[in-house]
Amino acid sequence: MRLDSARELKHSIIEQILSGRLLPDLMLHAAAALSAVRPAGGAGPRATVALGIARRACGGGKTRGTSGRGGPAGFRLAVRIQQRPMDRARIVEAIEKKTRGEVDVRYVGSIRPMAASARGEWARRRQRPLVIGCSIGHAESTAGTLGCFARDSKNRLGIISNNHVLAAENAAKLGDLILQPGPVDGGRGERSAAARLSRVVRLRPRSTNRMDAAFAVIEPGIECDLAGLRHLGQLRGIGPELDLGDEVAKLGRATGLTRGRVSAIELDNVVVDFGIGRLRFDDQVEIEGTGRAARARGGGGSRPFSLAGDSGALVFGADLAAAALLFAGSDRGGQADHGLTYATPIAAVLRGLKVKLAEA
Amino acid sequence: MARISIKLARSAKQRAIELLSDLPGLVGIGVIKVDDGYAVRVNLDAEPSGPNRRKVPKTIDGVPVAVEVTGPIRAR
Repeated sequence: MRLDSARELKHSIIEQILSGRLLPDLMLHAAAALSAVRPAGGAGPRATVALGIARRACGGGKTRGTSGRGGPAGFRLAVRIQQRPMDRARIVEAIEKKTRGEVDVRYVGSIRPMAASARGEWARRRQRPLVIGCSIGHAESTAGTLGCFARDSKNRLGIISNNHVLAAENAAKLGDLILQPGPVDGGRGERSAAARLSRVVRLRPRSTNRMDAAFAVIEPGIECDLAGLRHLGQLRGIGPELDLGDEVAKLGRATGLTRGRVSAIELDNVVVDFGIGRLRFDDQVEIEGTGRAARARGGGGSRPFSLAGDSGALVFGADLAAAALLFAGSDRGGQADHGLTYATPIAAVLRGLKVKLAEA
Repeated sequence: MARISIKLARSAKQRAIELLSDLPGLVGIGVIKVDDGYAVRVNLDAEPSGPNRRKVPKTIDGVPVAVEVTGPIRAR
């Protein structure tokens, strides 16, 4: 179903079926990690169900579909359950009946609070000039992060982010509108128009991928801060290839500024869950969070380097030079088992998109 | 154990890919740094069952193999 239909259905279910059982409202991207969701407060009914909207898998995965192209993307209701017995509960049956099966039900267990949502609050708001790290998204998507600015062979200025942020996992058409902020952060129509999709590295469900990347040309009259890194200074070109132990940081739509360390390099066979299936990536970099925010709360001295919504963020080194493009993450592994983040070396991304990093 | 060079670790990584590409739950094979040099990292989406755990060698050509359970990796 279309995004607006999914939204209507969601609100209808909230009113008719789920009143009093919901976690705070959320919008889910594809198989987005739910660690981005804050648990309900101590008062009131115990939260057991989260309701949102997920991208519908549309063929092309390892075990489904026949064409491999997947067709146009759609949406469906996403139900996330915190207690196993709920799997078979009447409430889920009622939702399945109401949605006529257009629902993705998953058990997610307990949900950790988002490490630093307030830190990224600025990134989810409207930003003019456009800035590195702000919310961005295809008009029929949810939202990800504006990674950096680049110029194509015609010297047109544009933005780099992920295919799954700007091109809805191959489903978008060249020329489609890109919104800032992204739709899930309130971006709507021409008023939020920031760019138009210009170049996409297609995601391939049946072979090895090198990156999840796309480029969109800035709309006329939209100003851009080409190198500003909020809280930090100015981006300083392209840095050397990331090495093990390198200190890195990123600015992202979900968690704002976070810091991390390269924990593995030259990763092959990285299997990532997308709406269109499980995709394999080679030659990726792995990063673990090293931020201090969690230490004060007894969290083991680290926090996740990224959460859902940080996709497309530029990873930069301690020298503030561009290093990699963030696209995926896990909820486990790394310091204090807070999860690991995966990114593609920026040089490969620029080559794949046939663009050059824009100089300030 | 002698210090493992990154060249040796890269070679062992390729061998690990050949050995483990069909391992259920495999979500990544790469190179990591350890105290005395480099090692191969095998990422899995869940704790491996006994038989699958035994398929992952402790070393390949003398290079240590470290297993990390990352859970599923998702587009963010």
